[in-house]
Amino acid sequence: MLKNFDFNGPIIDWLNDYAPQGIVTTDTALIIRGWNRWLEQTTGRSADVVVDRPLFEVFPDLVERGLDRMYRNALDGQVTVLAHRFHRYLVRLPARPEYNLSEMQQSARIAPLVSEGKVVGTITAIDDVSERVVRESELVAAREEADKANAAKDRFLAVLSHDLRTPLTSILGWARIFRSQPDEEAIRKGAEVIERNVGVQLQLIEELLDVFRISAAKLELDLAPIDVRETLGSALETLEPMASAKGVRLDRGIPDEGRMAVLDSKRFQQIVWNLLSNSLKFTPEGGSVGVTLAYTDHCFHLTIADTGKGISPDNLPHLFEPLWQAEGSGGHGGLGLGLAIVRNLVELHGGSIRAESSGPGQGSRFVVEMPWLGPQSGHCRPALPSNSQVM
Amino acid sequence: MLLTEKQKDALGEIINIAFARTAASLSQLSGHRVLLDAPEVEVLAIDEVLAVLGNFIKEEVVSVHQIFSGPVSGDALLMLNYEGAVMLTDLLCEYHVPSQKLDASAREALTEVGNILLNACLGVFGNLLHVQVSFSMPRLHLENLDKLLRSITIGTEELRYAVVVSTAFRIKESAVSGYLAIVLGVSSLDRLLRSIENWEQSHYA
Repeated sequence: MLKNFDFNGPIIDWLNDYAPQGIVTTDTALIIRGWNRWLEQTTGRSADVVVDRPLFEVFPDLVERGLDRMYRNALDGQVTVLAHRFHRYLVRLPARPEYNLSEMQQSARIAPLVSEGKVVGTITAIDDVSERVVRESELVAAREEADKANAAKDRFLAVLSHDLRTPLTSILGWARIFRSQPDEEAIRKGAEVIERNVGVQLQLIEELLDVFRISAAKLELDLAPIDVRETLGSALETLEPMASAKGVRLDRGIPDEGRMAVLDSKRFQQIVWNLLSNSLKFTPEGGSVGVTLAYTDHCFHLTIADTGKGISPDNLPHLFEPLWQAEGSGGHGGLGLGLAIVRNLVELHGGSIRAESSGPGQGSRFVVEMPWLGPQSGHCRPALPSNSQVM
Repeated sequence: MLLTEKQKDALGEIINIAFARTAASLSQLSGHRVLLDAPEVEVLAIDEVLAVLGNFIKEEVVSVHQIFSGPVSGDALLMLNYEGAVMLTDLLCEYHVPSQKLDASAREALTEVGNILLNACLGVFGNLLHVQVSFSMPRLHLENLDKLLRSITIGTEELRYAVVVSTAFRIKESAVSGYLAIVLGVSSLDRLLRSIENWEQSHYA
């Protein structure tokens, strides 16, 4: 409460009782003369304890932070604004718990208190701007996210244009060769190259279509009971030539006995194909890729482990994000859609996937868990909800 | 209004003192070295200000405005164009994401920057005239220049002049141009100029 009338009066009384901000007044010796209800409530110190004490004794922090100068300027007639962005706070007070801030964020005004043309003291108004600060940082974070998403889209379009054009350049080149020297050898060799490039482009377009179907929630599974062991076996057969062409050994750890699971056969093969071709891509000649299938009561586990270039701990959390590619993965090309599609397909089946690696050069392991009885069974769900989506 | 070369030099020197203080305060505040360019000073009739500043501030002007009163009275303003105001707060507050607009916290930060500059200038003038000047709370305005200038002259009969100082804040290899304007009645300006001449004579005597 305000004491010693120099500082009393109907306006100050009103500020004392109702002001939605902290008001502290001092005399010219910087002894506190007024301490309003807002300050009593937020500091827990009543006016009786604080009034008549030197301001810098109550708030020694003001001197340590060089803010005592503002009070001396006020006694010279100057008004000072203390913006939150430069000072964070004038006096350290606790923030309301919902803001999750270490202290109350404040802005303040320090001004001379003038009576009949003479400076008779100082008045300080302290505003709690915590809510504004939290709201502004949320807006900045949202803008950063949007900028990142835009950058990812730009990168995606650049890579997409490049990847769509590359096979066409090769096809166009061979078409010109056919026209100028249409001999049998050129046609045979050219047809092979054209076929391969059309295949690459077809796969790229399929991946894109999958991404759009997944993001529009239009990808539907064609579920039917299938033999997991047999389906895995035929997927491995198609990849065997790629492994031997690269000089990478394909090790199999597959049970003798087959078991039926409710799966979309084509999509399950796509999961295996994407994971395995990814491992082959990052495993150098002389290395190996192991494929293991194991059965438990409710699920089966498919593990694909390679001796390839491994994954750094920084990159692991982003591996299944769409359009994400690790620094240094250049040269292997691709849009970074493969693993994102795999995760979505696994989750559509009611399963989960995780990646493990001890670090660069240490190889990597992808573990897929899928329920025997399909997505409705509720088994093999990831322990934590997924936080990334395709596109 | 034409100043003599001597008056112009003396006024420039006085403002340089205030700018050096401002630069020191802003450096301390931001943790970066801040420089304020050696200012160019002109004294213009208030009607001429729009024509001179119109090229620099085409749309809205961001101004920090403080009224001062006492034996000399008038209005002190820091004026920036919008892009400059955004850039200056980003540079001083070390904002990691470039802003496109001034949010409430940025406006407040800019108000403090203007407050430091205007306090320094008016403080130097006050010392020079041996008078105590009272300051109003600084306010940030965002409006077109014409409207801002009209709002300053409302209710005054006296012929008004503006001491206009063009400058640039230099921070981390970037420069933000702006104008300081101190708008005074003819009698306050006359008193100020005479004091400045006396100061210069005693200074170099």
